[in-house]
Amino acid sequence: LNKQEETLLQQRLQKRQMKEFLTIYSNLVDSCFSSCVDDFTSKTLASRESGCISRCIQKQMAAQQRVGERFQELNAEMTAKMQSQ
Amino acid sequence: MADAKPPPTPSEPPAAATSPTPKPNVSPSSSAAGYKVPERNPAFRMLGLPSLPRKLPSRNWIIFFTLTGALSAAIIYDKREKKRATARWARAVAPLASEPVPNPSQLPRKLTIILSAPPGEGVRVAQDHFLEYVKPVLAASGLDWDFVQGRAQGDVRAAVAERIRRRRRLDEKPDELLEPTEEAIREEVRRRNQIPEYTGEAGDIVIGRNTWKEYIRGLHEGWLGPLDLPPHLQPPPPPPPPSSENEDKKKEDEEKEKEKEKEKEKKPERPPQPLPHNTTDEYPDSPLPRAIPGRFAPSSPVQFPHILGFLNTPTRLARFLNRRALADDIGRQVASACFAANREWREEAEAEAAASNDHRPARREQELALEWEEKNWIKSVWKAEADDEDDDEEHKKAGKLPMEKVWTNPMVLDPRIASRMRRFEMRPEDEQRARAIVVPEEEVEGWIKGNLRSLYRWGAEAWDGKPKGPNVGNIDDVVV
Repeated sequence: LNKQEETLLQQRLQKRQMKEFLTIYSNLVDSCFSSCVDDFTSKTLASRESGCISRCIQKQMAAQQRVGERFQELNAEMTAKMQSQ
Repeated sequence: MADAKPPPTPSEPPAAATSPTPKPNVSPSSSAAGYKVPERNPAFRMLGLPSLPRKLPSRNWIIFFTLTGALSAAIIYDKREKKRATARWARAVAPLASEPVPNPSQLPRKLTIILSAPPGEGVRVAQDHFLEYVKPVLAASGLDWDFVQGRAQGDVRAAVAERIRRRRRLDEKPDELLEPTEEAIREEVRRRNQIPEYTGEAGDIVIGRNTWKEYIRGLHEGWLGPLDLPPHLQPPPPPPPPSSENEDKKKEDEEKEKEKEKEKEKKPERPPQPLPHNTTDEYPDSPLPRAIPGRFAPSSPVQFPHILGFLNTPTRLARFLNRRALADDIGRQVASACFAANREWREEAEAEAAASNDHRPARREQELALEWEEKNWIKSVWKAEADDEDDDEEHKKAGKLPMEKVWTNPMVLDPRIASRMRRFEMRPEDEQRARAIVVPEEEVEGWIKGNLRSLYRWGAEAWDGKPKGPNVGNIDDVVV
């Protein structure tokens, strides 16, 4: 690949990464909002709701990290199995 | 008194006079002298209910209803109490699952469940026993667990001993390359990602007396036996390749080998069971390895009553109607394994030892654990000793050694290993708290009552007045 195509590829990859990140972000906002905010008699966030949201985000991140680690281990096991067979 | 005679008597002659030909189908109640239609109980009459039947069902029906009712009551009561016992221990252990984990990568505590097929049956029975009595409590506790399963006699011994030898090899022969296992790959990935391992007490839950015996034998073999197979047990080297003189013979051999390979591809053979690396007689002379810890991971033997035979049906029925006691005992053992409180194994009480006729030294608690289960085993387990003589010769011809009968041999304990073993036991305050737990009816009821309850709830929810969805206030007040 020459230089032009390289830069194009890099741009495309960056765009895709940005898209994925935004999708993850919007899913996060969606799920945390639906779980935490249930009172629409006032338009400002109550303190319990904002606390709930920050905890929700932390928990989502922790869960993602944990699932990613287990998935990595499983992947390694599966590739080793494939190789031995 | 003549006046007390009821009116029908003087009216009978006029009735007989008016109807000279009496009808053949006159009702017997009116023909019997003085029979009155009984009056309804005035209390029932006021309520508008019919009176109770005057006629009970026949004697045979009564017997039938009594027997059916008694058996149903026994089964239903036992089932409910069994659910209550398991639910009680699950609730006692549930607070462990809610403890916050500060580091999201922190690995949880992991127990090892050791299962083995009871004599005369397959592993399925042991697995079902685990699923019914042990798993509910474990699942509620938030712990992690993995299995060591044994199909034939000696499988568990081989697995337990191999695990211990693997640990020893890391310390005694750090340069030797171990064969890769799935666990080793996982450990490698975790080490690379610097995932913190659990640093507290692990533990073993051993199900069944035969498994317990194999576990003890495996522990001793792993810690007291040599790391490699002793020379007289190693398999003979493969025969040298045939000379190139007889080419036809060679071709025939190759064809035969190809056929054998094809057969093997269809059915992947299981590797043969690893032989024991030492015998029970070698225990006192074996040195302890340097890497041996002062205390082993605690273990908990869990009973697995299993009896076969047609004539044992009354025993099996009695056990079936008393499963609540079994559920309570197993739940207590598993909960004590989850709470991780442990103590050392004790010796038999001195009074009992003195009472025995043999004047033997006090037996250790490990030997006595679940000893009653051996009476349940099928006869062929014990008879196999008599057949050993024929088997020995065949085995010697094939170049193999006779199978070690772990189940029928008496348990041999080396004091150095036995003193390092520990047993799970709950603290008294934990047990009291567990006994005080009240299990709600919803967890104990059967499916009929459960469905009726759901039906009631579905209907009652219409009258709740609870908002379905986010709280948007009273929309009728909004001025648009």
